[in-house]
Amino acid sequence: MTTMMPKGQKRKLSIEEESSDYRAPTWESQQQFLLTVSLNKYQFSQQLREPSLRRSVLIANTLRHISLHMSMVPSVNVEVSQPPGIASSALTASIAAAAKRHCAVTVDSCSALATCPMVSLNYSPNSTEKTNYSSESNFHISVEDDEDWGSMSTDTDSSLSAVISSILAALDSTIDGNPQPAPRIPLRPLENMSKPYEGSVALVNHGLRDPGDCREQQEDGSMEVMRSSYLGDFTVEDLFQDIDTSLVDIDMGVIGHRSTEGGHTAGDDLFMYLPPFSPHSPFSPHSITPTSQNAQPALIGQLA
Amino acid sequence: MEEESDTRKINNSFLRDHNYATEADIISTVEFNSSGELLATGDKGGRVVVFQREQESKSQPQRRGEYNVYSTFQSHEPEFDYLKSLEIEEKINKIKWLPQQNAAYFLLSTNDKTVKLWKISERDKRPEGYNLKDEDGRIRDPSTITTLRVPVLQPMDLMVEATARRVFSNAHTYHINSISVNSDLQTFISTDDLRINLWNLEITDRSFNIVDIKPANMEELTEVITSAEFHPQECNTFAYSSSKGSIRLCDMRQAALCDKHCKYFEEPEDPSTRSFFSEIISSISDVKFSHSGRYLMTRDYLTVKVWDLQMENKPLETYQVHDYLRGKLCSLYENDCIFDKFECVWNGSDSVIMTGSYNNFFRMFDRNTKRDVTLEASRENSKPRAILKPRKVCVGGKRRKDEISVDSLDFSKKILHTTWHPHENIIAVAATNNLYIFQDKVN
Repeated sequence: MTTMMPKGQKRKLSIEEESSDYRAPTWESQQQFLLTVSLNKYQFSQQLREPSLRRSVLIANTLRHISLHMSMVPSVNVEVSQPPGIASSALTASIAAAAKRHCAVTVDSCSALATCPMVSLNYSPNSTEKTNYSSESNFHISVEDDEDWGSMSTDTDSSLSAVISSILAALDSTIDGNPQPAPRIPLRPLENMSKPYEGSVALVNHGLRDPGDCREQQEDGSMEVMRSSYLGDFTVEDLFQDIDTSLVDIDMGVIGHRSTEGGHTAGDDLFMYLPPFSPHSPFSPHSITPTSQNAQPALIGQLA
Repeated sequence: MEEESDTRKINNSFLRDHNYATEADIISTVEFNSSGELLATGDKGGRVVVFQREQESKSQPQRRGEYNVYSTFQSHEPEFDYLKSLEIEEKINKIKWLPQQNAAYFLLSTNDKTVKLWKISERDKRPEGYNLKDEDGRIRDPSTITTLRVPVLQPMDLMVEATARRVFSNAHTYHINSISVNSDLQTFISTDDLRINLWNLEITDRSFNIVDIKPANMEELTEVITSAEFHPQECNTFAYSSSKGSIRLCDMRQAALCDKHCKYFEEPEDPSTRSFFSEIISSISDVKFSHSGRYLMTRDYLTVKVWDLQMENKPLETYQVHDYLRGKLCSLYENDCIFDKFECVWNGSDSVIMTGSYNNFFRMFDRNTKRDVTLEASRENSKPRAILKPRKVCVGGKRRKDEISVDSLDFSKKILHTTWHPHENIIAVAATNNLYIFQDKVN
């Protein structure tokens, strides 16, 4: 029998009393609870043999609302003893775990890419704090009868929204084998293997869809860049001057397995987790520098 | 039917006729055909079971025609998409009947990816006395044939056979959530999360895409299509609902691609009830035109709304299905119940609407008298021929006898699929793997 209340939930003060005070730990913890629940939901849905697109979109939208709301209340970040990046890093930890599971489900059109590059939790500079936080995330939350989450704002938390974008991009790879560049798997020239499927659909649809054709070409455009990157194009080398670009010519399977080897440099890891080089990427190339520590958590967030 | 008699029906005069338990398979769709003679159910195992109403016998006029199993067939099999390494579920998502045009019955059934047209026909005669082969089917030795004989049709036991006449496949990347037959009886639409395709019933290798809401960048996807239906009379008009609570009415005469809507129905959000779950609970799970074609009914998580096609800015009527769940949305989100997709149906005269809820409850709303009733579909509470007792959920304070409190509701028992006979007050309600058929009390 499906229970109404989540197990182990302790009833606390009424949320109405505290809704006006955003700095109250109960309110903030409820929001975090919802965030965690949403992330877990998303991760779980990716493990299902057929994730429902409607459900995933609704969860992603809810996550967006939560992230917007969290960014709307600056006092939240101030009051919390740990830096604001913690929320992001907890999120990224969950996303990383999701990415790990997601990769197992996603069809890998490139046979050499046996495994997806994993984001190692130990790699993150915030790892210790992250671990502490994730244990806190399972604290008890009251679920009140009249939940009033307050109004939403339109401010954007860039790191969280980037994470949301990565969720949707990953979702796309799972749901639809279309040629969108997957942020998690860099240099995938054979994504266009899924295109024959789309192509046959276009045939079935009798070719009335000119906008659809243009769309395919646009995806082709980004695909072109990816393909050329794989072949050791100038563009990639430009970005990673300090990285041994001979890696580009190495078989993808080797790169995919590099995460299991120890002792690789930060630069190599950065290369592995190359974000998609597409106009739609929220990150401009200049932010992807190994020396920029601030960009790193966000980078991992994007790649997860 | 007259409205007076419809009003009377609401006063708990439904009696339970029969309880058909399907074999441990969860029913995923139920549908009466256009005459009400047949009732089709689809289940998670990909099977379709068709019930037929017995002719009323003169010897027992009190005993209205009961529904008995007429045909059972495996409509869809589990498949495997090798490209994506995903299994394609055989669960029947929707069944839609075609109006009867000859002795055979036709229905469309669909799973996530493939629509099939099935022909259900009866065979009660068999040719006997072939010239060149004997009754076993073995070819006779030509030298033994001395006379000519012509086969004669002999009566045999009634056999109902279902054959797949058309298979409409490979047109949907996403999961098909609805199908709808056009009033022109030549075309139908199939709808998935992002696209709507128009088919001709005779042509299986081609379909026209008429709606496509897939964004160029999937990261920008925030809305999906949840249901679509053709207008019952206007063969050029159809409506589709979205996960954001809006309905779009489109005219196929305007353009080949109906991305631009003619009418856009959406109720502005009430700021006082806004929450993180506002969008999820506004997601429309079902859209149904009234039989008259004048109204549209939509079901979201907590309400049923009736819209006038002439008024886009707000619904004509809003009915609260289970508003006591509004304060429990966080828990319902956690246990995934908030994503349940309930259906809604009109009665034959469009005066009563019905939809399901939890705890095997289903609700009926009389649009004229504004009265409503909650009934339960369960074996324990109904005996054959017994009148269903109205149920009540206690929302707070003292719980009266026979009332059930919100926290005692069983959320695993949900009634998602119901259907109403097109002319009479007979309803079919699917409760997990049980099918309940309720009929109006005979006076």
